[in-house]
This record gives sequence, structure tokens and C-alpha cells, in this order.
Amino acid sequence: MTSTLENDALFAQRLAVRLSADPTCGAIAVGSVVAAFHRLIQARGLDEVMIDVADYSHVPDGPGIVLVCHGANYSLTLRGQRPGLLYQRKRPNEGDFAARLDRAVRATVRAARALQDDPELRGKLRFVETEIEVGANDRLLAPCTAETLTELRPALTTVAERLWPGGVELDFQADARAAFRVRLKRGARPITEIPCKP
Amino acid sequence: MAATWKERLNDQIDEPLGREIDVFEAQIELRWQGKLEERLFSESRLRRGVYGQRYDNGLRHDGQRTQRLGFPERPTKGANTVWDAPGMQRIKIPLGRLTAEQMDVIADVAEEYSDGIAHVTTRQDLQLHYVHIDDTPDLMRRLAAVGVTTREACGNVVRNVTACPLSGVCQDEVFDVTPYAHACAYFMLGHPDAQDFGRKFKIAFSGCRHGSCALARIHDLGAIATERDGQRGFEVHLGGGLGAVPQQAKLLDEFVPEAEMLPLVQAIGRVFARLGEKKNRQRARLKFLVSSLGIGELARLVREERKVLRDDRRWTDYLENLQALDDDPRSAFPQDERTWPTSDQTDQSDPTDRSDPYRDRQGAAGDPAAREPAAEGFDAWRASNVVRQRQPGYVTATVRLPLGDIAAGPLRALAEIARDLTGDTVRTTAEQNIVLRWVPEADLPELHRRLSRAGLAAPAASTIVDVTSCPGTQTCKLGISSSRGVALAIGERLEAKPLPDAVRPLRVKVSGCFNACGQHHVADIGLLGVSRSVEGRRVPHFQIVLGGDAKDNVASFGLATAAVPSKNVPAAIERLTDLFAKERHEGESFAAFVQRAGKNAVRHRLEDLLRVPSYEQEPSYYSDWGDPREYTITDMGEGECAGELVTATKFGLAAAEVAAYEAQTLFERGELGLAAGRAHEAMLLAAQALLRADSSEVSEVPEEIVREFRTRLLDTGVFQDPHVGDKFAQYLLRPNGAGSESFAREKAQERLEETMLFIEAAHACYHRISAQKAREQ
Ligand code: HEM
Ligand code: SF4
Repeated sequence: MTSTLENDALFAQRLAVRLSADPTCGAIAVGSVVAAFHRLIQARGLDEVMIDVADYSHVPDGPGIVLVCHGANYSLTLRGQRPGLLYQRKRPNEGDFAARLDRAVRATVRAARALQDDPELRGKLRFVETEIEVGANDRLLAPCTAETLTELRPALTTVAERLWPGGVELDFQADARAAFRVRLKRGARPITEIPCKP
Repeated sequence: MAATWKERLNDQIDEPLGREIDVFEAQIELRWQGKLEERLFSESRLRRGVYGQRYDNGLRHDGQRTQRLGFPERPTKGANTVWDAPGMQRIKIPLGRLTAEQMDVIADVAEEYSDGIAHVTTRQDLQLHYVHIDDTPDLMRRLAAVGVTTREACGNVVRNVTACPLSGVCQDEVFDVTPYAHACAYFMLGHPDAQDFGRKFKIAFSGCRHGSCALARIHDLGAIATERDGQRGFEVHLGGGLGAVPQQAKLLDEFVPEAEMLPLVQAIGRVFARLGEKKNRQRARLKFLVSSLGIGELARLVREERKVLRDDRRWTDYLENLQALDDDPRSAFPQDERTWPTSDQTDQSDPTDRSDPYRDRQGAAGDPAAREPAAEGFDAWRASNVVRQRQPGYVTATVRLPLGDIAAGPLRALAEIARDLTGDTVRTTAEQNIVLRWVPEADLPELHRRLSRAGLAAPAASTIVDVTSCPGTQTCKLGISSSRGVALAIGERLEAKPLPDAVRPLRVKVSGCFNACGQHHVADIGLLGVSRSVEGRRVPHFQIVLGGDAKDNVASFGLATAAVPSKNVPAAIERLTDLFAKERHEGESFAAFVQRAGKNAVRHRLEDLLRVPSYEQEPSYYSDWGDPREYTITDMGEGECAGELVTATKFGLAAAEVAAYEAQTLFERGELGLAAGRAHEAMLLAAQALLRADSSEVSEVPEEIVREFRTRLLDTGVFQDPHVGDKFAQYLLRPNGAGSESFAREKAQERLEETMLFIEAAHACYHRISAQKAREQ
């Protein structure tokens, strides 16, 4: 069976969300983050099947420190060009694209808060609260092209409006090799203040 | 319905490969429906490189308690293996040879299905971790579309065929083994004669006899390039292997003509399938068949088998175009607009001079970027990471990957660099790095700049700080201590200060347990993960294994010298290397130094580092590198009665270690029979110690100790290790034959290895006994 390419991006499941961290987090010790993730597992602090912590902080331009969960991976990069918290969905989720993306954004924000509340990280870890990057790790259904953006734009807009009612900027660059990513920006309201309960 | 990779890649995947993946996908489906037996499914997935990973039984100790991971209820994918638990995908990379296109796809699948990291293994493979089994068919299809298979990456089959990463460009090779190794890999892949082995079968090709790149003699089959009367052929060794008891391969044939190589491998496969042990996994490697039949008899059987093989064109077809796989850019781009350097354009220096491969010449490729001044760190990088090729004007540069890891972004950058500056292919290495071959010398500054930008220009490749490590406790189910953690800690400690010249070229290799996946036996300094009980708590340790020598395709295996708490290992290594730098004789190798100094003396120098401070004094010893969880499996109470018995057992175990140690000293003095005898006594002491754990009446008579051990510890299942079973008990039970004058050196060494393993097993058993007691109280 051949499929119409048109709406395929809306089927993408491996969604990604990224919050940039404030560059001052470069001063945080790797061990503190590793320990914070382990504490999260002990406390069952996220609504995930949390499995383990993988420390890749030795790898240049790598994922940093990864909290491996069944449904998604959360990875925190402290140093390098793009410090931040990356959420990457691995298992399929229910609902339409906008609903799934919304859930992914909320999960990311919840993890960001949980980390900020960790006794060792409190006051040290800050996220840039005026922008968020979203996308999909699926080069089949959602290649990083203008067509994908067109297909996803309505859903992206819905999610963005919920974050920052009153308009968002959207920043996108097509790239034949990269996974689809788009940056949503808005000045007014801190991301970590958006309501988390679905 | 959304598009699928299957339909998208349909016409890009070779028919048989595509079908196999479809079959595997169907097997997944059948297993889901409960129509495929667990064991069958498990071996099927292993043969496709789909491996288990730590915690896949659905349980994990979080540092405070064992948590059941709340995976959905599903069928299992193997014994005690939860369907949804993430696993490891091994990708077979014959000869470690990768094209730029393949690297791009591997980067993509690493990013989409795994944790964004591609990991280079000690046998030139790649691994992805934390992969969900449901994603594996698509992952395989995407790889298959660029000619990469995961087939037979695990399982009881011919594993990845490895070869020197410099084959074809090495100054020392007799000839380029690339086409032979490649033909062998694809001839044996899925070959009907190689589907019924009792255990895995590993093959390596080496371009020379004296080198240390291919480690031919630790393989089930090691082929070393050689020439006779102008004819090419191979010196073939059989039955090598690492694992719990390492074994050097035996010479099967001094000269196998090139055209006879593939039929020989096939014949060996048939003999191994027919006569190799099938029931007892622990004795199923070819090395055991070599031991039981003797190499002479095995050679005879193989010759007989060869005679009855039906002719196969594939045996020799590839010989007609030995250049087919050349990555020599001079032949690949004859009409390229770039002007590749020719020998008269470039360096006319002696090609055997490896001292300073880069001269301050302008870019021969005519690229203005090549004329930019070299980036920071260029000289140091060039000195350690670059070697001259056999072909004048070209060099090979090593990309040093920390712990063998490379992230998706840099991997794509590397693919781009390989396209632009080399003949498009790279090779992975057994030291878990990647080499870029065929770099025009004049492009080195440009190469270094681009590698720097991608974070890939770490200097000190193949030096003591470039530590090799198996996955260990990070992802391996069998890991005992954190091999990766300690490997990083060692590198950091040694890199913090300038190293003496004698120390720099030493190699450190780490395995997280006795299975030896990190190849610790063949390093100057090997480390083997073990654990010890201290005051009722577990403490991660590493056995320091000294005296290994990878030269001559593995000249000797190292022996355990002392068990050091993990947290003291970097300090211990620094101490050992300082000692070596200060006290070595001119030109003396590390192995020779250890031999001369004597293990006793070496161990003595480490004495203060062997002690574990109490938990109250220094709790950090009770957790492992990079893992803040407390390293313990039970919280033990200290009953007085148990305390006393504990002391007696511990005392006995320590005595056993001393005896094992003395056995090693005897071994080094060449008193082989005595060494084996003392080793056996050490096992008896350990068994006796264990028996003391629940009785103070323990015999001193060897036969009685063995009998008691059998009835009270073995038959009752007490000695049974949850992971290893009672494998090591057999070392004590069988007739030891020691004390005789004619004890062969290798046999004696084997006995020493076994003794060490038995004592380790006794420690583990004792820990279980104490934990049990604590629970009962
Ligand atoms: C009974 C279990 C195992 C045994 C006896 C075993 C033994 C070995 C040995 C001897 C080597 C090879 C070194 C060489 O020949 O060059 C090896 C390679 C390796 N092992 Fe294991 N191993 C076992 C299980 C595992 C597990 C569970 C993992 C991790 C998931 C693992 C990971 C590796 C890796 C990454 C390599 C390099 C391999 C390659 O690319 O083929 N091993 N193993
Ligand atoms: S040596 Fe042990 S810990 Fe390391 S990978 Fe092999 S089986 Fe696992």
C-alpha cells in the first residue's frame, strides 16, 4: 500500500521537546545531576517507568546525563554549545498530534521543575523561560522540511498558544540530515509557570 | 496509514536480507501471540544482534531498595526478560569498515531509537543501547539499506570477523588482509555449516605476526598473513579465547594458501558443529575441543572434512579482484577534480620513518583552507594520533573516542570529513577508536581543525590514558563493578600530570567481570571487576591483572596480582606506573618489569591501597564510580554469633588468597607442578572456609573437604551462583593431577586462573550465606 505523504508528520510519535538551560549551569558538577536523577528514581518523582541513569558527560556534543525511562528519555546537558533539558519520546502515545505534543511539553516542564527542586541543584539550575524547542525524531514521517512544518503548523500553534496566549514566534530551518526541530518563542510568561496537570 | 520504512526502503534492501528482517518481525508478532517458544525466540533475536541489558528482568536496586520497574504486562523476550525493557542492539561491522553513508545512517538510528550514542566495541562492532525491541526491525531495515547487517552479531554463530584497522596501509604488513577477511565474513554469514554451533566462534585476520592490532591468537580462528615462495597464504591458529580462563590459540597450519582459506574455515565450522560441546555452555568454545582432542587430531579431522567439501565458487571468486574494496582515493577518484597527491608531488622521505609525518608543506589538495595556520593542540595531536602509511604522502589519523562512545552529531561530522578528506571509509579499532585512513599529509591541519570543531580531536590516542572498557555495570547484566566509571577515572587521574615517556604507551583495559569482554588479559595493566564483603557490606573492587602482552598477536596473558577497592584503582595505577618509570631497566617492557620485580614486591607496594576504610569513616568506598547508589544488595545486621563465624570464614578465604598468590610466585619461578599443587590447596582452603560458615567442625583432609563441599554446598545449591551456576565448583571437584613434574606451562596457568575464579565464587557464595543469615535474624 502506498500512503499519501501529506499528513504523515501528524503520525509521528517520537516527539522531542527541549528547554534551554541558562549557561551558568555549566558550573554544576556532573555528579550532582547524576545524583539528582537517581533521587528522582528513588522517589518515583516523575510519572514514568524510570529505569536508569546513563552518564555521557564524557562524550563531546552528546546527550549529557540521561534519565532513561520506558516512555521517554530525559537528558540534561550542562556544558557545550547547547546546555538544556531534552525530552525524547520513545514509545507511542495516545491522542492526536497536538495532544501528544502538549503532553510531551508538560512532561518536560515537570522534569525541569523536579530538577530545580532537587536539594543539590536548587538555585543553581535555571532554564530559559521564553522559548522552547519542539520536534520529532522521525526522519520517515517528519523529515526536517518546510512541508513537515506546514503540516504541523496548526498543532504547533495550538500548543504554543496554550503556553503563551497572545502569539508566538516560530523559528525553523530545513535540514536534510537533521531531525525535525522548530523553536517557539515568546517573552511574557515563564515556561515553568504553565500548569502541569493535564 | 502512514508510510513505513519497509515500503520506503523496499527496493534498496537486498532481497535475502530484507526477507530475514521480515521473518524477524513476524517472529516478534508470533511471540506476542504466544505462538513462539521463549527459548527459540530468544536465540533468534540474539542471532540478529538483539541483546538483553541490565535490569531487563524488571528489577532494579535504586540504592535504597529493589524496585520492580512498572513495565506493562507482556510476553517475555527470553528467560526472565521483560518485553519492554530496553536492550542493546549490536551491529556487525566486518573488519570495522564503515563508509560515510553508513555512518550517517547509524547516527540517525542512534538518535531515533537509542540514546544518541554509537558505541565502538572491543571487536570493532558498534552497539546501540536502550533500544526497544519493537523498533529493531525498522532499525535493521535502515541499516540494511546501506549494506549493514546485524545478523549473527550475537548468538552461537560466527561473530564479527575482525582485522587490523590499518590493513592495506600499514607499513609492517605482509600484505593487505582486507579482501580475505571480508570474503570470509560474508562467506560464513548465514552459512548452513555455521548454524549449529554450541557456542560463538570468533575470527580475526592479522597482516603481520608481531603486531598487537588484531590479537589473532585470542580468537577461535586467527589467520596471520604470510608468504611462501612468493605465494600468499595464512598461518592459521585455532582455539584461542578470553573469558574466564584465557587460552592462546594453537598453531594449526603454518601455511594455508590463499585459495584454501575459505574452504578451511568451512571445514573447521563443520567439525566444530559436529564435535563441539553442545550441552554444557561453559565448555563449548572451540578451545575445549582443541584441549580434548589435541591440535594434531583436530587438524587431521579438519583435513578429512576439507576433502569431502563440495566445491564452491565463492572460495576463490573474490581472488580475481583483490582491489575491489580498496579505499585508496587515488584509484577511487581517477578523474576527480581534486588533485590527490602522488608520490612525486608529496613527501619523498623514507616511508618507514614514523617520527614526524607532517612537514610544513602547503595543501596538496589545493584547498586554501589547508593553508590556514594549524589549530591549537595540533602538534600534540599529530604526535600521538597520526601514523604514516605505507603509501608515501598519506597518513592515518586516529579519532580517540572516550570509552568508545561517539554522539550522533559528531558521527555525522566524521562522515562528512571522511567524504571530504579521505577515501570515504573509516575503520573502528579494538581499542574502541576510529581511524581515518588515506589522509593526504598536507591536509592534516585541515583535518585537525575540522575534528576539533566536532569535538573529535582528543590527543593521546593509544596511550595509557586511552583506556579500553567493556560496558560493565552501566548496561551489562553480568557486570560486577563499573568498568566504564573506573576507566574514565583512571584517564582523568593520569592526564592531570605529564607522563614519563616509558609510561605513555602502556595500555589499560578493563572488564566489569571475569567474562573479559574488555580484553583485560592482554593489556599491560588489566582490570577485572570483582566484589568483596566488608563488615557485611559489599565493596566494588578490581583485580589488577599484570603481565599481559598483546604483541605477537598476544604473547602472554596477565595474571591477577591484587584486588583493589574500586575507588583506589586510579591511585594504584598511578603508583604502578611511577614505579615502572623509576625502576625499569633500559628498554624493559612492563610485563618484563613485573616479572623481574616479582608480583610479591609489586603487591607489597600496593598494600596500603588494598584496605577498605569502614563505612562510617569513608562511605564513598561503598558506592561505585559514577554511581551514587550504595553498592550493596542487602542491609545486613551484625549478630554476634554470625560475626564470629564470619570472621572464621573470612580468615579462611584470606588464607586461600595467600595460597593462590604463592602458587603464582611458584609459577613465575617455573615450578609448574608445585604451582598447580599450591593452587589446588588454595581452592581447598576456600572450600574449607565456606564450610566453616555454618559449622566449626571442618575436616583438614582434602578428600573429606571435597566430599563435604559437594554434599553441603554444591548439592544443596548454596554454591550455585544466580548468574554463573556452579561452573567454578568443577575446578575443585575434578582430579587435579598437580604436583607432577611434567605439568605444562599453559596448563599450570590455566589452573591458576581457575583457582582465582573459584576463590571469587567462594567470596560471592559467602556473601550470599551472610545475607541469608542476616535475613533470618
Ligand atoms: C556469558 C556471558 C559472556 C561471555 C562469556 C562473554 C565473553 C566475551 C569475550 C571473551 C569477549 C571478547 C573479547 C575477544 O574475544 O576479543 C566478549 C566481547 C564482548 N562482550 Fe561479552 N561476554 C558475555 C556477555 C556479554 C554481555 C551480557 C555483554 C553486554 C551486554 C557483553 C558485551 C561484550 C562486548 C561489547 C564485547 C565486544 C564484542 C563484539 O563486538 O563482538 N558480553 N565477550
Ligand atoms: S566483561 Fe562482564 S561486565 Fe563486561 S561486558 Fe562482559 S559480561 Fe559484561
